[in-house]
Amino acid sequence: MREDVFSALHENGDYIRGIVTIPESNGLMNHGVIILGAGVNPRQSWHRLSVKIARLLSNAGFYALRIDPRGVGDSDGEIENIDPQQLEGFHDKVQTGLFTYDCQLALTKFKKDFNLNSLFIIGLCGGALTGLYLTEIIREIRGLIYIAGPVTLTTLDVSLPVHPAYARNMFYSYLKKVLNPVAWLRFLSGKSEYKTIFFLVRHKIYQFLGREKTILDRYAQRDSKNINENGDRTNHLNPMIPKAFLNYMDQCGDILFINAEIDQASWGFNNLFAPMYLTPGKPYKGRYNIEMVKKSNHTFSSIEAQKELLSLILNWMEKFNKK
Amino acid sequence: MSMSMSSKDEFLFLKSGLDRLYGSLHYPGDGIKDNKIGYVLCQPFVTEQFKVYRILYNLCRYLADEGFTMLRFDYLGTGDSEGEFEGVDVNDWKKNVINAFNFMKDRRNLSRIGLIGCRLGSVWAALAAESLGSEVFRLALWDPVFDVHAYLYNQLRGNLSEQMIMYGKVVENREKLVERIESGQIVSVGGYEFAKGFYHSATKINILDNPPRLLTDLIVMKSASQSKEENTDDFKFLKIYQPDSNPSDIKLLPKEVNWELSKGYITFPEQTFRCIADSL
Repeated sequence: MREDVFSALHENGDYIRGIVTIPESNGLMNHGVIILGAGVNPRQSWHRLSVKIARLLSNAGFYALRIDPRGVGDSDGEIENIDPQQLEGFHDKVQTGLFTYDCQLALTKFKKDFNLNSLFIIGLCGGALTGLYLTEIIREIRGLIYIAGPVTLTTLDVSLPVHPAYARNMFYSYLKKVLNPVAWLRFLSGKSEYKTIFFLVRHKIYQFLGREKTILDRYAQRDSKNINENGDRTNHLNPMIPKAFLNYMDQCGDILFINAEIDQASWGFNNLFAPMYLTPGKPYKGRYNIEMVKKSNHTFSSIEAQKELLSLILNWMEKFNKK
Repeated sequence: MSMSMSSKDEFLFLKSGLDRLYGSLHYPGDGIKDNKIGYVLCQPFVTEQFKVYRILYNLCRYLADEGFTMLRFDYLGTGDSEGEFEGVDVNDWKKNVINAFNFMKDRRNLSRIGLIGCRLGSVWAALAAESLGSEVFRLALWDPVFDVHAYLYNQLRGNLSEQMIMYGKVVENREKLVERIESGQIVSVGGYEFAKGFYHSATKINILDNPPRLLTDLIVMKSASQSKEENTDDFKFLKIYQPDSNPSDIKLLPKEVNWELSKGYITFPEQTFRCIADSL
């Protein structure tokens, strides 16, 4: 295995940069996989998860590319017209395709540079969405691994209930501020996030009453009643996702969804996306698999979660080496 | 916000013993006077490096536009460099700084080369500066960390947050986590694998209690609103090497960079960059 710097030139003169991991022995297949990180994080992803994935797959014979889209990591350019203080604005942009074109340029050059026969995409969180959108443009993607990808837009999430595990954590962090005069000053001067506090207090009451899960279920039911003329749910589901998914299913690619058990994104997937597009009776059965990493948070930060995630990725990818 | 950069950039792998480290060189582009001064940027600890990645990239390009040559690199087992985090040893990172320094010396025709240590990177920069002696013309520390034990112990909070999400309560406190690390188990902190080899050796380092022997100019930069206090670690450290100094010798930077939290996507804290350029 060897690692080298990689770059692809954008028409405006900006360079999109990354790292390519080259297998010692590529067999006869010449498979290439692009790994897309979360949000505006650099190409290593949370705790170098993308580095670990790239090296794992390279040892299995795949060429692996990790890139920074423009404005991120080591690539040229800047992301403009978004308030830099508001991370949610960046997330929304990513979730609606901000990086798709840059990734397309990189993947096209990657294929050419290494004479790749088949292409795969692995995306984490927002990178999963970018990967899905990419399948609409590069219509030869054999496999996509969609990891902890949110199916809702971040700014719309504020009206969604928080996952019980995160609600508990946030509640305790607010609780710690009860004796903090600065926090009280913020609260009394109108600077606190009252909506969040309201949701957390309500959540705590529901938890006390043993009805924690009913909050989420009620929202899912409410969402299910908002259906447009095409039969799509319109409330919180990012409309670009079903469109790209259905397009990809019309092609010949396969998809592996990997969710983390303790993750807001999994709740959205299970309640807003899966019932509509993946339940029995829908077409495409056999073209997708769904896996859940137990006791894992969104970033797969525990050692056990990382091991399981890597194992799921390797097992799924290796089937293409055997085909 | 001013981001028109004309610096020249090279992205590369450099050797540190048998290991390959990812790095980037940034130097003055056409039309910019090269001041022949270079700095090796010693990055903060992994959890913070990830959050300020773009800021440090932009800082290097900004300083290159000011005439400096900058080298940024990832320590062994971090970023895009070779190795696994759980396998690193503190001596590796000090050696990495020295190798990066020598790489820059061989690669660019510079009259003076210094080190910039960011947060925990200040420790490895200071230890490397001790080994390199008078070859290092200046050591600049930005929001430095002096006591590695206190710093890493604080980092263990990351594991407590993970437990809160996982179990709704803290199952193992930090003392228990340290016990597990010391017994040879791996403990995850924000997904990074804390292992005995690194933790045990790193936590013995305190450059305030055991200051390295430095033969170089020292600058301490602090993101703070005032520097009248004499009882700060920053000032105590400066005073070891510059006994006549007073608190106002700490270079103040605006509080634009948040090493621990990423509430927005701040990538170009221009006032901070300006102050750093002026200090160097």
